[in-house]
Amino acid sequence: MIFASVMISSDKSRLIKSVSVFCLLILCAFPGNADAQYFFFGRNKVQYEDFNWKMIGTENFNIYYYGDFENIAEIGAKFAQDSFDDLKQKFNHYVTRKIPLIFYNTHIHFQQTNTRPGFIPEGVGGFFEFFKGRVVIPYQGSLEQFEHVIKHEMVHVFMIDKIYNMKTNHRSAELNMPPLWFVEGLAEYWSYYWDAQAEMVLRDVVLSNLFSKYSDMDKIYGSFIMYKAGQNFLKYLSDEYGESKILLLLENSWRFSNFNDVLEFTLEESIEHIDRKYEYYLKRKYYPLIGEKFPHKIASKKLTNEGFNFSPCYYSDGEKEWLIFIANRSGYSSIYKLEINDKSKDFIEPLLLIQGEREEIFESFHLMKPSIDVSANGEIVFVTKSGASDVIHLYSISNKEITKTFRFDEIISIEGTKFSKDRSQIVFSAIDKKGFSDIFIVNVESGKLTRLTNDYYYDKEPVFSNDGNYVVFASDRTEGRYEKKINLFKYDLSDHLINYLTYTDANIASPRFNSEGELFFTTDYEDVLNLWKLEWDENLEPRGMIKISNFLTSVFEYTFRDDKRIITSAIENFSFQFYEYEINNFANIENNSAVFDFTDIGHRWFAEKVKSSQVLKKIDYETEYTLDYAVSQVIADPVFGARGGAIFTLSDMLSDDQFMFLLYNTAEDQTEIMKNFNVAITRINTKYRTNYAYGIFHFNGRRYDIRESNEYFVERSFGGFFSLIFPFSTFQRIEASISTANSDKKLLGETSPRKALLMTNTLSFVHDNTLWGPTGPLDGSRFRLLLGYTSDVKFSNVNYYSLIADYRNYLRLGFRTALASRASFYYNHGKEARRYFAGGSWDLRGWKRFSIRGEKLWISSVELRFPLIDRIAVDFPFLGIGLFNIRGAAYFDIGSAWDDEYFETLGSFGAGVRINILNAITLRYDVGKRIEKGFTHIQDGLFYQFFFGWDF
Amino acid sequence: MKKMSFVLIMIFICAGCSKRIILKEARINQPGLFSYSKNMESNYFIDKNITYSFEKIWETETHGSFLNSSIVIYDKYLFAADLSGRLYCFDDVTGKEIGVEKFKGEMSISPVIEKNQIIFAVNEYKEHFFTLHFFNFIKGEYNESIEMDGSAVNEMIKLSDGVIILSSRGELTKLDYNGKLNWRYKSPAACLSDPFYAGGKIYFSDTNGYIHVIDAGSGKEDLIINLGGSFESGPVIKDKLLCIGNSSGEIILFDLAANETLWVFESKGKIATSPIFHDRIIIATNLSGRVMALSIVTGDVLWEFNANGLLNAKPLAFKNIVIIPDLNKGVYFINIESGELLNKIQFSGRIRHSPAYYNGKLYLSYDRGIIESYKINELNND
Repeated sequence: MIFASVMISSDKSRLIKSVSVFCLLILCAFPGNADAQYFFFGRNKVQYEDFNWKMIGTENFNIYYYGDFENIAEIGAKFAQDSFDDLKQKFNHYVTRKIPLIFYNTHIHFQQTNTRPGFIPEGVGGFFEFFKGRVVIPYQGSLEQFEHVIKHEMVHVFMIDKIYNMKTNHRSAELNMPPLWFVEGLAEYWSYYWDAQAEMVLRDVVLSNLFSKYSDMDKIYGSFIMYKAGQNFLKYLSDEYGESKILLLLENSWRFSNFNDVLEFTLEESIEHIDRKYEYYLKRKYYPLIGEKFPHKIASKKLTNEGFNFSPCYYSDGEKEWLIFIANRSGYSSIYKLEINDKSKDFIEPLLLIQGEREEIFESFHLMKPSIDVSANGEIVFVTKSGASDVIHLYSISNKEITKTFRFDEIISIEGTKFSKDRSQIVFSAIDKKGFSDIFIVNVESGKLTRLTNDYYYDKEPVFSNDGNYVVFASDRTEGRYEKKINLFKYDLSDHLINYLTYTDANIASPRFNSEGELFFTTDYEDVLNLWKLEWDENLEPRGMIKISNFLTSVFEYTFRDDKRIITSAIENFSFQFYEYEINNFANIENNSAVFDFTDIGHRWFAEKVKSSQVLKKIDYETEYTLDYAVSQVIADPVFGARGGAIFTLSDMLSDDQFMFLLYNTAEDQTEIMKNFNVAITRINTKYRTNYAYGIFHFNGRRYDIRESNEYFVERSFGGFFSLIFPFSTFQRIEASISTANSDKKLLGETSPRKALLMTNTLSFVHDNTLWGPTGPLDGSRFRLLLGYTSDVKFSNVNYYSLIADYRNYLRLGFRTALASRASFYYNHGKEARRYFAGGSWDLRGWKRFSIRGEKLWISSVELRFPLIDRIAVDFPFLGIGLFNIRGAAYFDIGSAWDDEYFETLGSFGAGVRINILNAITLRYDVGKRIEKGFTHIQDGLFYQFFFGWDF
Repeated sequence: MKKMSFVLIMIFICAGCSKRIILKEARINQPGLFSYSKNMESNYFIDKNITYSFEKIWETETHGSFLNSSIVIYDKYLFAADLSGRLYCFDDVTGKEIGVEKFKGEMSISPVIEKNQIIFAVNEYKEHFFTLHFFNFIKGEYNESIEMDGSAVNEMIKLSDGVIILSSRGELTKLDYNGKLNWRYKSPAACLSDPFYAGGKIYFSDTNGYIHVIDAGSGKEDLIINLGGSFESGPVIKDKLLCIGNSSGEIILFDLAANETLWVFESKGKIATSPIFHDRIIIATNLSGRVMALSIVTGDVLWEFNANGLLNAKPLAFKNIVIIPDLNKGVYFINIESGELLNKIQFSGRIRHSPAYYNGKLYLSYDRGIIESYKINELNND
């Protein structure tokens, strides 16, 4: 499967759009993770590896790679150069700059990249980032998909470059980016063929009325459906109006601000007419299929109705029959078990077996990859990401515990774990440090690892034969007529020879033996993935295959309940559910077989590398800093006069090392200009697991510190700081910092300044495994414990210590409902200790914002968070506005702040509404009553409070 | 102080304004380069030998850039129409800007000059039409402005009694120099290539793979040739032979007299510019960066040169040298007999004009509307 994304930016604003196959829908539907690594809480992006980067320079590319990945990197360079040569013609445009292409040898390593802030979901298969014009791509074992992603991202590179060149050529300030469906649809259309996955997606969404015409593009905005619908619409335009129209849509975009006007102008037809024609085209193509094939819900019994369910494995404990599977039903991917012989309800609620994604050992289940199996004695083998790589776990269902964990030095990512019949061995496919996806066997008792294949062919989904003599796996090592198609191969464990089991012009997946030793698999031989069975001749050689299911949409994975019943994981209505069907249901399928022709298969194929004549240099990575962004502003203040400042940052190509510069002046007359330069220079290094930052600063000017009295003061301070962050895992880290500052501070009206040489040390421990909804956390917990000490080492004017203990817990009551609670204690004690503040929408609601101040402060809150309105749309004659994910809250707050003597306890209760605007800001409106006078009196009337900010 | 401020503001405003084009001192009936290429046929062949050494004379700048169009010249005045909707007039001797006419739209094709009149097309912003302007540059007046359907993306042909324009929607129109419609012909498909004039007929290709042959006098369809594929480059004709390259990269030589294809050459790259007939060879370029000299008789490759860039602007051929503009910021001077690279000019931006040659000077332009003039010496042309 391909996952891709684009990161696009205009001059002043950045638009980040990540899209992935299927997973995007999951990401949209489910809460996500907080990626605020450098904030008070937040998970950690851990740099487990110290990559020794290298670079290949060609005429059009600088290709970055590391370690043992050179072989695949050179193949990737060839893909990139070929796509450049192709796309320059398609776009009639030449990208004159060198394009940085950064390769990671697995997705796990890719997730450590600093080229993009925040976490990268498993579904993202690459992105184009505009600040430095970088393309960042992980290799995931398949050369074909590698080429696809490279080309997909290169379409983005060319498109953006062409648009900006057009903008410059026209000197136009109004040239808009095309809509996302066009951006991603074109990237797919010009990078890949219309494959079985695309056909499955479009067939499903058309037949389920999720998408049936051009004007439905808005309904699927941002989803993977949009990628494929965009690709299909452009293919339709090319077939109906001519391929030249595709580029004209881009080249005419200067002409109109609305893309529909561009479409009308270019195609010379009204939008309504185009819409009608495309709708007719889709319906004419897909509606007749209903008469030929069967929806899963008609031909099977549906077993699940919620969440995203994958990798079903049948297991019987002697009393009951179970389905063991991986699913995302709550936002976290976990392993569940479902009792399948319970007929009391239509849909039985599965039981949680292993909770995932809350602690390091189960950091991530690979939801959409087959990676689970159950032995007859009730042991589950499954894969999780744990630290720097994937590991294999064995789990005893009866004892409810992990019995063994295997981690291998050379292996980074693992999938497709399957037991041998006697449970003594586990076969799986894995990607090593070279990027090779190969087949391995591990002995369960000894832990000994045996490698069966060792090359760049995409070997995956191995299974043992029932007698344990050979391993069947799928691979793109197919030669000859059907070169690079994924067929089934047999690895004989006695003579170590690999032989064909199938030879078709199709892709095959999920081989499984039933108890009779018959080999089943899924293939897109006809169109979408259906179940087929291998046919043997009288000499026990593979002869052909016969079709045993005829579903409208794909079957991904399956398990045998018995010889007659199969439980499938299938897609329908763009939902991933389990179905059970009887093989006999499709006994009368017409044209249900195919015969293999193994003659004249030909020779092994080899991937071409970039020509040596095209390689201009091959060197170790050299750190060169280039500008990320620069912002400056000059203001004319009626009171303080003109003042101005600028912020700019520099970083290297991999964004491991960043310098930030802040410069502004607070002079109020000409004589102060030199001494009122405020400067801060900071270096942040995130290359290694231990992140560090240091910097120097000089600040001088009039200030207002809310933590002190309500007065202005003048302070000149200069000094430096150093901080370290060490993440134990994604969920926990320790932070330490030291800073020193020479501070001369004078309140207005005072004659002599308070002088101090301040030294501050802090040490913190932070934990965060929360899962976020649209406006704040919904599940998990987080806390910070901070100890600090600040002293004036020269004059002893300041001397105090600090303690912060802040714990927050989120109890999930329903899929989108949670009870949030927090208990926070902030304590500064000593000479000239700074004050904390509270009050307002973020903590003690109803009280004036930041009005509650003290050197000591405690706050506790309980809040019920629930969905209020999923979508509200208002269409004006000239504009339409849509608001999504409007959430409600009912809360109770209590807390107080004091300096030396505890004064009174304050509180409030009420309800509120929160709206997430474009994932950038949350607006909050609260109504309630204050609890006043030492918690003895409830406010008359109501307070109303409007502000912004995420839920605590 | 107020007066001083007012004067300064006025100076600032005036400095920011451009002068309109009014060439009161221009003399009538002067020579020049009146249209894209020099002659009606637009064959981009100049029957002279030149040196491949050059010397920059001046550099000037327009607001927007260009889309493989070219400059035109009248006497000592050089005109350039840019994509920001401006028609510039420069002094051809110094490169100094003389005047500019501004529109809200783009000008993507070269103007045509007829006597004291310059004819240019503006693709209108937020409209489905373009406007063909007939502008008297001596008086600074518009004689006529005619709205026409679609976009003006194909170069005009200057005839003795009028101008031919082919719109993106395949509408071929002839207007006389007063702006009066002579005739109009509609192709069923879009047209993204320049028409060609030969022997009283207009030849043009469409995106459905057809060549249309239209009588230039009456506008009647004379012949339609189905060569298949799709064309985004126009045909060229010499001695009843038609040569054209298609979007699949095929270069086709078609015998108009015998109504048959003589040969097809696979260039391995989409073709977006018309080939050039040169004596016994055809010079063709494609978007993969390949320059090919093909034998007219056999279609065999006599020589080839790979620029590795993107060749989407029309080359300019002399008797001894062909000048190839490359979008990858270069202009190549290639020996027309051997294919040997004789010289290259490297620019800091993408080449945006088809090269123009007039009166010993070569005109080139690149990104951001930079136009440069080079002195090129002619060799003994006996």
